[in-house]
Amino acid sequence: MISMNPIRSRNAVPRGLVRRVFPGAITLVAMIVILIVCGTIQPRIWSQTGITLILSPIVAMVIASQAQMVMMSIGDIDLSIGFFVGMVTTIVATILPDTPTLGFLALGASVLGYTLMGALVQLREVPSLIATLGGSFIWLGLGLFALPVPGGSVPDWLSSYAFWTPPLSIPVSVITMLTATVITWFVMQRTGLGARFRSLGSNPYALIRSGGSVLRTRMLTYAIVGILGVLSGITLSAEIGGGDVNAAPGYTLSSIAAVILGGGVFTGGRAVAWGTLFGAVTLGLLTVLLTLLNLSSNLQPAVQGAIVIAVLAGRLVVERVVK
Amino acid sequence: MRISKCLVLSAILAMSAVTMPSLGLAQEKKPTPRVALSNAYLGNAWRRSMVAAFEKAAAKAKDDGLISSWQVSNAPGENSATEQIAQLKALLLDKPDILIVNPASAEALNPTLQQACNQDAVVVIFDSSTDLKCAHVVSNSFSDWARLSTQAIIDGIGGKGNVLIARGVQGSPPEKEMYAVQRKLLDAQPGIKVVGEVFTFCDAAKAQEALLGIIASLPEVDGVVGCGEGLGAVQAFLTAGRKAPVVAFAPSGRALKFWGEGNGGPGSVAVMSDPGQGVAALFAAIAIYNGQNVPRVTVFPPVVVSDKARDAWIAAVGDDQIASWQWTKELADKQIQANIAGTVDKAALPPVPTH
Repeated sequence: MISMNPIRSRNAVPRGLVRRVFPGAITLVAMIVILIVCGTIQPRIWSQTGITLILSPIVAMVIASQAQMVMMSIGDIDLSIGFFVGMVTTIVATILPDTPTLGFLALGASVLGYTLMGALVQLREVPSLIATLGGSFIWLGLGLFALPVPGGSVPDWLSSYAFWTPPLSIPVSVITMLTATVITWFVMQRTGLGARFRSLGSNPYALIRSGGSVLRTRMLTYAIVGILGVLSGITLSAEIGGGDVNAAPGYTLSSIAAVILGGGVFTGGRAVAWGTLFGAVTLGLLTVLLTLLNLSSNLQPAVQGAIVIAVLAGRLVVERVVK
Repeated sequence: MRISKCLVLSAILAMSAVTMPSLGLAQEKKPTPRVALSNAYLGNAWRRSMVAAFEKAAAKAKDDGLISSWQVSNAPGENSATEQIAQLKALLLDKPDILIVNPASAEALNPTLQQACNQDAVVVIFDSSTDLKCAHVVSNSFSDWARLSTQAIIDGIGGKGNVLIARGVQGSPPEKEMYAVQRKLLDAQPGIKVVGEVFTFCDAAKAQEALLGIIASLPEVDGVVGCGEGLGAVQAFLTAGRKAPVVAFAPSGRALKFWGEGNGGPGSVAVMSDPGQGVAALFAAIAIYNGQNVPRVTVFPPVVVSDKARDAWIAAVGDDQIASWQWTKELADKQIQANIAGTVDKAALPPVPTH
């Protein structure tokens, strides 16, 4: 007889792969369950407009979570991503529509700012938590400077992309999410750059011995986080129809939760682009689920917390079994 | 045969001609609306009182046949616009007839609320402003708040004496608006001298701290003109061993009890923006849905607890609640009429709750 537990059998898949993929798979299952429950309560979800309605608010969150995932792959944590995304929306809503060149320069400069933050973490040995926490205040200040009161308007090309109806009734939000995930996955898993990132997270000495520069790797990581942050901010400003530096401070902690749900670890060395996608969508769908369940006002926050804990507990149980 | 067929046909035609207009009339009467309230945040006493008042009023409106169903949805997180957008979109799946929104941001919800308007929902925003053309706004005016509380304190100290101005959140637009009204009313009183100004953020704890810092340098103070920090102001004066001035409390159960125990100068008042605004927005939305004339922006009064009505309010407000007006369809209609007539300043306040 074949062993009941395929993981324990001799022909088992590599443990590292299992450990990396399983939590994301659990989250995928949770995501599908939540989606089915939502669709049972409200069958209008199963249409292009329905899917677009529930997924479009999650797109920016997915990209911000990918940024956090890249950051966590080298063992750093980014506490500034929420305000960075907010600051990007203020640039998009003020400078970009009238003077696109200047706008893109400003966005480029913010990516450069992120890169310098990476250099600071490496050179001065500042913990990333502290450096990014400080960074968050800088982004908040710059965002308030660009746009003190929420408002502004987004460039036409951006709103026409957001309201684009792609053929084959595929929702545009799904296209954006998948594109961001595929690119992040490709960079992290299929390029030498991604390998260096993960190596910096798991074993920096191996990176140095193989001739890599820790400083350059860390700066490149922060640059990629910055680029993803800019993309997240652009999609968010399409969603909110303007700029607001305070639009998404919640992304900071939610994106960390999304990475953890997706199988990431605080210690670094693991890149889980797909898991992070599922984690972010699951977290985003919770709001939809709670709204559709129409629970009593006092119960809603508790139920949200309970679902997140249940998914994480599921992951812990799975990891125990895998070990 | 043929003739009889023609006759039958023409009879049918004639009948339908008769019945059609009445059918048309029947269709004009819309079905009773389905209502959804989207609230961005449930983390403070004001929002909890707002939701509690709304749930009570909506249940009654359903019993009275004014609405066919209602739903309250509170977005998770700390007053997050992105969470509220997700929540609103989930609500839109259900195509509600009336969408009432207490927004996390005056701007960020605009594209989403525009989608709601495109679905032919009546959208009413309260406790905020918006420049979204298709939405109606129900709000309390900060000038009314400042006018009612300042006038009560002027009356409380008999129109003469020293007052201190407790200002709100430094640099915020509502604060500027309220300060202008406070100054105007105080400057019109020759017997009143402003002896100082202090930023208290309309918060009792911050007021107590700020006042203790400057209290030694102050002369006799008869009144503190402010925006709901009275509890902290009275405690600061009592700590310093001085006579408690006439103050403006927040109408929270706790502050009202403190006031009822004899703290605060006689003639004190409690004023705050009304958590019953959500209920006012509900009745305004029903009026709009039924085709009544409602201005795009309708101003409702803030909640005011006067010295005389204090004990009745204490009985009606729980410890962890904020006092709120109990709007009914009739009262809300009257206030809407006052808005159309431009007589909001003189409109009568709703009755004090009696239980």
